[in-house]
Amino acid sequence: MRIQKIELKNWRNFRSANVEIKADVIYLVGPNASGKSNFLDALRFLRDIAKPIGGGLQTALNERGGFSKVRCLHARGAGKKKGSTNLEITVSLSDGPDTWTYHLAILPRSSKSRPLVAKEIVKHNEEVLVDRPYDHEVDDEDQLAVTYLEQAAQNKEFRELSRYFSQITYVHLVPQLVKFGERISGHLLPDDPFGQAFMKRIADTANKTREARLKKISKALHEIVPGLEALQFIVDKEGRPHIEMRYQTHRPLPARQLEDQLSDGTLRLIALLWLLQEDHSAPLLLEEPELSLNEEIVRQLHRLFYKVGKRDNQVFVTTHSYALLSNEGIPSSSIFTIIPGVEGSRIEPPTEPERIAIQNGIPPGDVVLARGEQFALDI
Amino acid sequence: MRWIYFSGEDEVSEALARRCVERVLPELTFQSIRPRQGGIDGVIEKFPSYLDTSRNYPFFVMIDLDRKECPPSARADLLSKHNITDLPRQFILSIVKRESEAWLLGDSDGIAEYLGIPNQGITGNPEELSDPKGAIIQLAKTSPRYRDEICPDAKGDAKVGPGFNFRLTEFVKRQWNIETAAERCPTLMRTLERLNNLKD
Repeated sequence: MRIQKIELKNWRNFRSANVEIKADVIYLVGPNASGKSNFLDALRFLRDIAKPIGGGLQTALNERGGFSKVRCLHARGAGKKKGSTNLEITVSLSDGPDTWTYHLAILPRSSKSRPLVAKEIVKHNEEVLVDRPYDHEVDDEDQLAVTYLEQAAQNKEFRELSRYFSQITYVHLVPQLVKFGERISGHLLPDDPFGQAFMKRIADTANKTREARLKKISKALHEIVPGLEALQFIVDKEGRPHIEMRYQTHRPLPARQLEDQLSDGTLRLIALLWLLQEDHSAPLLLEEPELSLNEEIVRQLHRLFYKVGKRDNQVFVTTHSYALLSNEGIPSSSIFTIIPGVEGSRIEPPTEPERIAIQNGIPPGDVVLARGEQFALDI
Repeated sequence: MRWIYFSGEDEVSEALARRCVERVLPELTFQSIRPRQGGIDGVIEKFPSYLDTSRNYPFFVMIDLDRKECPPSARADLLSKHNITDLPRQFILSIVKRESEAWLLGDSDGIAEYLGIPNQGITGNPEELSDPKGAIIQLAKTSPRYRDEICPDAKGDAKVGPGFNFRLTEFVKRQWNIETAAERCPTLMRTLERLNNLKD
């Protein structure tokens, strides 16, 4: 299944966004605070509603600080046109010849009550499977406080769609959390977005698969980390999982390092190469994969994303990197620019001249990262 | 809407190019292309792609002549490197003698005022200078405002100061008088004429 279209209304800093997706790898570019992560968060939000453990509409909203935090500040028309301040997410998907549409609109009732489902529509091809609210639930807040998407009893006819959303992967690895996860201890965020439990993720993988993936990573790292002999999975005396790097030295036994001694860049690269080898039956969302990495490595990432995009599922990437977008094999349909404005942000495909330039072999980064005048940074 | 593409060596040339286009072709939208690899190499490497792109909308490229002999031979060198025989009329290749900084010096009153220095001693023929960057740095040495930013730190080995591009770009955007500069810089005058010819 692939996402074909994402439409947002009043979602975070987008008053309105309408994105048609044709590529397997999607790059979101734009200035700081324009809303690149917020755009990805719409997909994470659907995942958080749909996931079988700890999911649900109310939890997904609460984890984000409540309805007022996810609803666009620029939402207009309060009290005028009915529904104009609703928050809406619509995703259209295709699965071979089949098409799916999921539409969810949420409205705030009063400050005291929970946000409720204003509309929930599920379409499979031309057939409407769900079109809520139904007459019998209009006055029942408890029913309207939950989506059908999150309820196994209600989503039977579109279980595959619900499962698809629940399998969306988002990782924005923060090396310090991996290294000091133990010492920071305590609170682990749901779905571990920052990789705090990344070692556990590796530990939970079947032995054979784990060995095969680590072998590939160590082969890839061989070119980059001098003297690297092998990358191994070990469990310490306390039962904690670790990644161990073995180096050749002049001494008879190889030197060893655990993940907490690796540089941020090495750790991020290992995590990225691991993620790219996982099976993705739903989109993989990556935030600024270029962070802490050498430009030469970054320059080569698109090829790896492309493989995942072809083999498994779509890859959505936020980036600021010229190096990442230097690959002339990136089509203009892969790129969306987010433009901030006083009325909220807009998301747009490349303009006509940008598209022409990319089609003529100018590296996409040289084109789309050159929007607007060079601004002056001063303090 | 119509556009004009631009690619150059650095942010100062882009700022100059924007002023040129605004002056002559204000109806066109400026579409910049910024090579990841800055400097002349970035421009040269992608030259054939720029040429292809110019079939749709005009393309303006600005490079420095630097130490090369004269603009026509530098142009011929560049074209022969890519086996290009001639450039279409929509493609404007501007080779600045010797560096784009010469165009800034063309507005001597403006640059003197910006730096807060007297304007005596600023040449009336900046394109004859062998090292316009160096000339600006010399002038800035007496600038009470921007000396530390424009001139290199005596302790280091950098060629320019940390705010060289920043300050020069600011000057071009805010104060640079393009008419005065064009009178003193033949390559600027020719560039404006050729941009103007795009109107036909």
